[in-house]
Amino acid sequence: MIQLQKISKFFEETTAVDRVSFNIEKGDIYGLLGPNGAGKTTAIRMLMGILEPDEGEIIWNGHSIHFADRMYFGYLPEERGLYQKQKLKETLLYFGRLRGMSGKELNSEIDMWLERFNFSDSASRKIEELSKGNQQKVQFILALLHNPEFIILDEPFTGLDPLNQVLLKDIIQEKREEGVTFIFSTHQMEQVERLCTNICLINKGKVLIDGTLSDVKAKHRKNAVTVKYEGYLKTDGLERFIPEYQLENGELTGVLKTPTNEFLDWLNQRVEILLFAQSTPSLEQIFIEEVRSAA
Amino acid sequence: MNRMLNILKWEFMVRFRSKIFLISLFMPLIIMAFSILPALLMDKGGETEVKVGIVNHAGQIVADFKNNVEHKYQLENEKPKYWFIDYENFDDAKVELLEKSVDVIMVIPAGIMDTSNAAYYARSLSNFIILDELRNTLSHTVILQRIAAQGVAVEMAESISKRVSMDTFEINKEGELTEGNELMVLLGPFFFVFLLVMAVFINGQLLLRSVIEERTNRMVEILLSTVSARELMTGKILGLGLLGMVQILFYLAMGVVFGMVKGIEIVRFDELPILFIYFLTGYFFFAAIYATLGTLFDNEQDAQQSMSIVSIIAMVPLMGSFYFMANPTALVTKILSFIPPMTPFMMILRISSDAAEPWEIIATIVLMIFSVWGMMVLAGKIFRTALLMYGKRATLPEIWRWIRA
Repeated sequence: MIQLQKISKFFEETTAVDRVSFNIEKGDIYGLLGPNGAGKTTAIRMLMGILEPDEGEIIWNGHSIHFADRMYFGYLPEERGLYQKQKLKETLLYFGRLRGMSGKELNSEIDMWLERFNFSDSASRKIEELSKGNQQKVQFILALLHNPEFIILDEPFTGLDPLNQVLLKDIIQEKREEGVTFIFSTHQMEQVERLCTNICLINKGKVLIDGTLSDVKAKHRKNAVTVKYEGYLKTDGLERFIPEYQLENGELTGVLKTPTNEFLDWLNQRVEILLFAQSTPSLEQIFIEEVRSAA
Repeated sequence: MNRMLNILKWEFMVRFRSKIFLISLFMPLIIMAFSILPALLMDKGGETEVKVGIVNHAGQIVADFKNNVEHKYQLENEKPKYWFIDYENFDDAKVELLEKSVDVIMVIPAGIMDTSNAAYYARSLSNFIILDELRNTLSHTVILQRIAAQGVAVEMAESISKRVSMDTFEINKEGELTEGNELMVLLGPFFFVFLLVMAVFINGQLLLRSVIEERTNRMVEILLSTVSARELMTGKILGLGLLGMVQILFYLAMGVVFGMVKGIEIVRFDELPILFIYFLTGYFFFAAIYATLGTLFDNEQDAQQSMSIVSIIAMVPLMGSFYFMANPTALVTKILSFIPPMTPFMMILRISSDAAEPWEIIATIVLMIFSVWGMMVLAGKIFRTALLMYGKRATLPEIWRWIRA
């Protein structure tokens, strides 16, 4: 659906984004991760057309992206603000019109969202009278109002109470089922694990990891295994699977070098397996490990 | 185009409905009222009595002078306006002047018949009406005496020395005569330029504030993902320009009403189209500058300094307006008319004084159109790049690089 092809952005002497490529398919919830200053916001701004890439190309539905294509984009920037002195509904009307909506369609769409977010009574209140969390919800509506096909959310959950976080998550899931694609940038790894289908980890402008969440996790699964068994385990041939192992009181630990299934077959013929555990690192551990090793 | 119109409408409506707009609409009128109040009060200078200290070295002629003054100038209650107190010497009079026992001192020397010279002292010379009245009467008294000294009868001397009065008229382009009211003729163009300058500055400032606001609340990111920087800038400038037009139309309407009540023609409709062209080009020129300044600063306080430099340039025509109106064809006046930031204001002053050649009007309008175009191109280049720069203030070399890019 959208592809970044080796895009780069230079500011003065620094390279904010360095030949970044990734591919987002329709219906993905694509987590864009990375430490502060990694180049996430710059990449997002290029996606949104706020900045032009200095090198590379962005492909949208098979063609080089055009300004008009971005009418179907929704955007929740990380640093937020609204026209404090203006009324809630009028702000929504303004941005709806800017995005080519009008009349009844716009009004009914706005009313639907106001209702959904419990704003029905606040429609004619000034933005400054709303709480910070509520203002954030207004901005979320701004990103969704024109029924975009592709939505970029930069840290959408920070500052929201758990109830509203659930509301947001529900809406994201709903939209996804309708075929809407998301880019989701955050530091909150547990949100990424719960929501994202794909992730991309950026550091110092470069892509470190890119793939589906399960692939990435599989790849980083530390093959540290723990086996509990009954019976006598003859160790001849074991070093073929686990070069350095420890055996103690019916418990075998070590780092597996072969595919898990082969090892299990071999083991099954010798002892009765009571427990087999293979530890999977959390996304947070992957993040820290990758960024550290890249440094 | 559609998006640009949406921005225009938003910028206009948001401000049109605000209380600030109402205040900004009446502010210039209030400032103006305060600035002409003293002039109006001065015009009625005969309200209070004036004590004149006289140091007389000339003898009888001073008695005649006093007599003439007392007859000629009276307050509304028919009491004399001027009271005379005699002093032996100037030093005594000076002490009393400083103690405010007298308002002015006149020293009449013995040889006044020959030298035609006397002296006038006051704590301030700003009340020129008193000075004028006393000088005219003294002068008239001396002339009468000289004629009488030639053996001419007093009545004849009176009629010989009678001053000529002049009625003042204005002839407009259609050749119609209107009785001139010098103060109004002088102040009319001044007010108009004043209002234009105010409209340009008020809306320029609003524009700057609106750009800074969108930069600091980051709405600009959402906006720029929907509209181009050019559309955003154009929409903003036009929206606030429209607001300025509403202001100007309001002032014009006030001028017409005031003129009708007073029976004078303050607004000259045949000149309106040209005045509007100058207003619009002037506004666009400054708007481009203000919009750009808005992108270069993170808050209004920081922008203030650069803004005041811009304002001072535009204020020159206003500050020198009385000179330029009095000398509409002087070289300085002509040169300043061709310096773009000042052109619109200078030309409005000159056109009001009927002292601008048609070729000058055409040339300056062409000049303004090109200047506005150049300014907009320049502003567009800086606007696009600087809009998203946060925290770090752009340096001049950087700005220069963006312009050349």
